[in-house]
Amino acid sequence: MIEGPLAEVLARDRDRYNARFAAARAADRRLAPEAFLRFLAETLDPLVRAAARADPSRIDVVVEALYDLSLKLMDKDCLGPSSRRPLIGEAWQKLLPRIAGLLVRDPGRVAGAVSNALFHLAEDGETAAARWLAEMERLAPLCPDPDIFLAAGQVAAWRSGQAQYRESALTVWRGLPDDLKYETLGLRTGSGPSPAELEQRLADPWQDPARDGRAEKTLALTARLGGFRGFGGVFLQPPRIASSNGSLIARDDRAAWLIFADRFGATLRRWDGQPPDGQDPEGEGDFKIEKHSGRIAKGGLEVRFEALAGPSSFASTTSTLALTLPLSHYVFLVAEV
Amino acid sequence: MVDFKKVSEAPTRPGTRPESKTFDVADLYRGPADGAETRTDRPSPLDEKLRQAYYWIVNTAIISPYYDVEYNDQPPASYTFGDRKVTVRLPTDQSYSSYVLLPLLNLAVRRRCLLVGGPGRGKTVIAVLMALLAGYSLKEVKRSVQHGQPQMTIADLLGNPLPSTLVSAADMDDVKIAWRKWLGMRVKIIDEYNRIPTRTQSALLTVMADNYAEMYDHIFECPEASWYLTANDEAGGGTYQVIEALRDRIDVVVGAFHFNTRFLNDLLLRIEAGIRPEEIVPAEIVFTEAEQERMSREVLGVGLPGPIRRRIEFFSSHFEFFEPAAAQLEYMTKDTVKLAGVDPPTLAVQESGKDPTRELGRQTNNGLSVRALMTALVYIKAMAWFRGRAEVELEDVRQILPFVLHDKLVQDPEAPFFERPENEALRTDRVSWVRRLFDESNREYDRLDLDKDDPVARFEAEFEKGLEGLAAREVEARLVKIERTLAEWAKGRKFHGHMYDDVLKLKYLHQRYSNYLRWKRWTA
Repeated sequence: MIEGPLAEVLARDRDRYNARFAAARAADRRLAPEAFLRFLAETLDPLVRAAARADPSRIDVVVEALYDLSLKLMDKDCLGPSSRRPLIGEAWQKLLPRIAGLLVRDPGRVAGAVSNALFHLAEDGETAAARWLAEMERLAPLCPDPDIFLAAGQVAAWRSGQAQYRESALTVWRGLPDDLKYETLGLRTGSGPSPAELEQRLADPWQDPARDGRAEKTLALTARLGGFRGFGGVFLQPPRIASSNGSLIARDDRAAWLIFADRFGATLRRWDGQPPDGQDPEGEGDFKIEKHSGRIAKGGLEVRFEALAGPSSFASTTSTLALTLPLSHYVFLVAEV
Repeated sequence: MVDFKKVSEAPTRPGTRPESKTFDVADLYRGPADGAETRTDRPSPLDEKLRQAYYWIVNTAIISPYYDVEYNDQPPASYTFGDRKVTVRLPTDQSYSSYVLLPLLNLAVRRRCLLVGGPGRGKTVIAVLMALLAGYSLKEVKRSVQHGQPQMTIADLLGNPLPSTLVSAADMDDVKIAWRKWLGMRVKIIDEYNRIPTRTQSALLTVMADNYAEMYDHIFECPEASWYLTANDEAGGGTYQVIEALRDRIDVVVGAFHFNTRFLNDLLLRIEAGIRPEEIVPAEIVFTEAEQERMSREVLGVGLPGPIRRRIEFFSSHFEFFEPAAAQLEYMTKDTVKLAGVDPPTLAVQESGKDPTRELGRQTNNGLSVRALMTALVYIKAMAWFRGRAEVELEDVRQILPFVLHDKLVQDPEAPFFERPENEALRTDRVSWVRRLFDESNREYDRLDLDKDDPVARFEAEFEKGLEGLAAREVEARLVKIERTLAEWAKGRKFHGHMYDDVLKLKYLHQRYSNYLRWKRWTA
């Protein structure tokens, strides 16, 4: 039994909300009335109460947007008992009530964006998505409006390991208020480096912007990604690496993937573009490799990686060296850190 | 099972966008809770949104399982049925139902669309859906629909002077008019327009044609709008005869299809669930005013390649020429005959030496007006844009022309062409007739090899470089070339419709060069 603001809105416009549920159920008979009622009672009701406390005048708008959105997400198995993304439900129960003041201003957009973000982040594992959710709970009180909240979420997504978003997230980051510029990078407001120094640190993808980059550096194995598809990875055969216009591309016999990597994570993204033209297959980096020994040098640094001896292919950008081995389904990344 | 609120996922037409190596963090907020993306400076592709609207309508709102606007990227499989050899083709590229497609294109280009068909075929529903896609609420739309009826007055249509101001007014400026709200809307719906009395039709004509309403010397400027008119009778008959000027303002005509009884179960499901599609239009396919304006601009930005433009010119040139109409070349048009109060068919027998079944101009009682051509170009561009193309393809022209020329190219049903048994059906099926005309025109164009050998195009290209500084000797040479071409044509070929504009063009060029030469000699 639901009482309170949600119940009042539903009762006021009963026929319309019933028709919407009927339309959704006509499309998907799996949508059980009992499950939806439970969702209304356990998730939407507390959320609407929180919204009513933030701004009672917006309750009709909030209910209409969230009711439709929850039907849509349930239809796609992203909410409710059969959800493939339990973290979305968790966000509706924990994060959204905490940001009720932002939610009431643009409920469909805020709740939809949070749900979509968790949907995508969880594709690379629940860990990154959970990290993003925790970060958004921390950043939310600092965000004065939904636009800034969502912009902070984009930066947080990059820092939770989505390296493919690095460039565009940094563009978003530059438009944030000063305090959030620091907070989204894990720094306290008013402490640490100047904005100019921060920009300098961010120029190196392997530099943690929260730490001083003048410490002594070395070459290190920074990431291992890919793996055999049979064990949940992406490659059917041991991949090979090539460079194309400043990007690193891993390829097996069936498909190609772009490699994105930085201090916060490394990801592969399917690429349907043309194969590299072969003019610069080893890329533009100044890494030196002694193939038989696994010795790798860059600038004045040199490290021997025994496990990487005898690579089947390698290519580099100015910051990252990618290698593959003849008997491994992984791609190995080496960088100066 | 139909999901009444489900919008097709993008891309609805895969392969229409170039692949990119860049990843935008804005994509983070696009996903299953669609419509929730963050605001970015990057405008969303509106052609994709319009296609999503199309698929939502055909899949859920209007049961229209038809693909009469056929596209093929490979030769389609085809099957022939019955004694009349009815051909059924299975299109190999994304194809569309004209009944949904044309109203949507009309929404994009903000022109005037007539929906025709018997009662209960969803004409008003589709017009209402267009208004909902333009962002109006169902309540607003229902209030704004103008229902044609025999007692409809100009005041019903446009508004009323406020009685208090009417009494106290010292002059017309003091009269206040309560304009009807629909005049200010960006989607205008006139239901059963052929039931409106003639006098009120004239008031409607002013609004449709000139985009303003006038009453008591007061003017109401209407915004750019997409118009939807409905009529049960395709011929424009009804309670009142539709005035010709009003019919002429209609840009595109589309007919409602019958209900395919194999889809009765879909109807049953709707009745059982109590669903009315117009009440559940998904927010993500609703266009803002700014988006509608952008759509219109984007459509006009679609390119029309020269070779395709040339084929449209060639097609259009068949119809106006009418040899028996006059003694002088310039007046040899069907318009001359009409202005004289004579029916072109009565003089058509005087045309001799040409095969009347092959002469395309013999099938029509008129030529194409400038307005008709302009309208055709806009909708052709809209079709290409809807398909995600930067340039028009010939098939876009072929598919769109029949709907634009439906009422604009007046058929002569007594023409010898229609007496052939295989062509009889084209008397009633005007869409196929216009398409057939275009196909025949293209065949003739190919036969004459005009893509490769078009002397008029060469003369045009030369002339467009300008006359300034041109030597008298060069001008004389060009004049000789024009005269030789005309002499060549006069020798062996009959005077066909498509030659008429070419001959007139050569006469024009000859006159321009002659005048220039005269001036050149005088100044020398």
